[in-house]
Amino acid sequence: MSGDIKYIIVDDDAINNMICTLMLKRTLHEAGIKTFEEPLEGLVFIQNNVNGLITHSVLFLDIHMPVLTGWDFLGQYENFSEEIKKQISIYLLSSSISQHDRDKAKNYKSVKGFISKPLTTAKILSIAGNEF
Amino acid sequence: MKISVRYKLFAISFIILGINVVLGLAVYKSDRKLLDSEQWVQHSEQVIIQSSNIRSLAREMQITSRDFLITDDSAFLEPLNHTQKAAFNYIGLLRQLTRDNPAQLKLTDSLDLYMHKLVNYSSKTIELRSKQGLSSVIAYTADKSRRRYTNRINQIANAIQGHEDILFKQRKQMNARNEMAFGRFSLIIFILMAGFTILLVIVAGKYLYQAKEKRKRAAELLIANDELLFQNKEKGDRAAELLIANKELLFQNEEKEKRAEELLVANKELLFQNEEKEKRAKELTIANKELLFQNNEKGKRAEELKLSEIERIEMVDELLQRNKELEQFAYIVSHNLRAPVANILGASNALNDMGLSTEEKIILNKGIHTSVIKIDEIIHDLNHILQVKGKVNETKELVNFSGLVDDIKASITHLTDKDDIEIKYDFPDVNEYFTVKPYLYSIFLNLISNSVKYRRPDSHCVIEIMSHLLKNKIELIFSDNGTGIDLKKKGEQVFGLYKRFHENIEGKGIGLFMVKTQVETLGGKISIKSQENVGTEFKIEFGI
Repeated sequence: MSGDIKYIIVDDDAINNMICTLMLKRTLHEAGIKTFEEPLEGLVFIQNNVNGLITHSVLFLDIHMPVLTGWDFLGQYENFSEEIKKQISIYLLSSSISQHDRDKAKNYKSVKGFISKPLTTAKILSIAGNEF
Repeated sequence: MKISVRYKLFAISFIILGINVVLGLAVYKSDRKLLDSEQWVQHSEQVIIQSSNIRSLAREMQITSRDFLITDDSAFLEPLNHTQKAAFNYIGLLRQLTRDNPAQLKLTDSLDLYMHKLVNYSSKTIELRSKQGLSSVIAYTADKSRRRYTNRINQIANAIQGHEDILFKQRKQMNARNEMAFGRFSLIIFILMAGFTILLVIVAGKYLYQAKEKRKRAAELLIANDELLFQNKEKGDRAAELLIANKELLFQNEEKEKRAEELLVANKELLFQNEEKEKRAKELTIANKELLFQNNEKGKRAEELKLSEIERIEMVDELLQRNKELEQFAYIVSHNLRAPVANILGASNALNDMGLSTEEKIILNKGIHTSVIKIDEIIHDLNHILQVKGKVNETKELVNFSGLVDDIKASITHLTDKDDIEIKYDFPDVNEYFTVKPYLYSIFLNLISNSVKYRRPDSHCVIEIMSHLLKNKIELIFSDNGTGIDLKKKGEQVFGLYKRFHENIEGKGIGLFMVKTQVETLGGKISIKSQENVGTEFKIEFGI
């Protein structure tokens, strides 16, 4: 297991995080996966590990979370330096099937895509193809 | 008509003058008459004298011729001739005097005839004497013709004298009468003249007095005249000034006339416009009345509509709010339902497609189980919510606030006893409310539970419940000294379904949503005030 973190998952739903980790490992044989049930912990981790553990990573972000929602997360992330933003590709991963949420996502420059749960093999391969 | 004294004086003077003239003429005429009568007297005297002279001459001729005849002295001839001439001269005078008296004239002619006969006879005798001597003369004179002729002449002269004497007497008498008449007449004239003169003097005196008065007046008038003259001069000056002012006015008048003409045109224009406006005004008045009527109708309608409009607006607001809530509700529900469904889908995909280890399969199966339980929970929640929302017309009863709080306190002793939790209440104004008791119970329970749940672990938890009776509503205040919440960030979402704001604290995010739903179902409103690490206050208002 190398030190690089290639996939970060921020979701308060533990079951979802477990399934996603399993899917990523099985599809890509990837070991560099980090999950956060608390969004704030995710933000702190990113800020602290850039140019260390993180060189270029994909972040799956849930929208509907208590305390700090996906949108709140993005709001804070926008304030990060360009150096950090360059290294992170954010994909919203939501159980929502609402068009309203998809439209809202377009307002955030950092968001590269909107993925509807569940995360499938096909979706993982497509993203991995684009990013790496 | 009044005639002035002067004219009267003139008139009187003229009348007197006229009368004087008439009187003068009369005097003159009677004087002439007197003179005439005197002449006639003198005339008669002359006639008598002449005829007497002629008689004397005739005798002298007889004497003279006899003298010659006797003497044949030629010295006697000359006086004879002289006498003869004188006689004829006197006869001529007499004829002259008696030319107006035919009888005397005839006598004079006879006298002349016999004188001629006498002269002729005398001449014959003289001739005879001279040539033939005395004897022939004596012969010739024998018939005594001379005597006859002389007598005849004497007789005629006496006749003339007699006639004339009668005339003389008559004329003398007449003259005396005339003289007397003239004298009387002259006296009358004198008296008249004197009278008129006195009158004239009186009138003149009167006039003179008046004239004097007039002179006085004239002098006064002269002064007045001077005064007037001065005033006239002043007036003249003023007139000159007025003349200038007049010219100025004239110019101004012309200007004004021009303006007036312009104004006239403008006026006509205005008049026309006014007429148009009046027409319009009339039309507008009619339209106005129509509008007024319609307005009244509308007013009535508006009042009718106003009430229904207020009701409608309230209803629409309520419906909009309900709709928004329902949308939110649907959205939240779909999301919250889909989250476990998505997990089940993901897990089942993995289980089917991949060659998983037994350990991995167990984990996934556990995940599926958990998700299914979650779905069941959500469905139960929904059922609960829909029950509250659906049953608006629950039976209402009079609910006692303090009793309600006491019941709740008794039911949660397991929570309050475990920690240091104090629940205080004070309902002095109003302690009762006619409402649906289970809902009010649920509201009180949820708010108290919320305060217990979000107490600050490091300090004594105090929950206070109070009521206030206001003008047309009841206020219920729930306050605590808990952790509080940053409303600037989360204000909108406090009462949202499945909203949770605290890590590490158990909760589904349904309690406050239920409170709000129930408060609104009972026709009330709920609001929140909060400060982080100080506390939270909920205020519920119910209309009375």
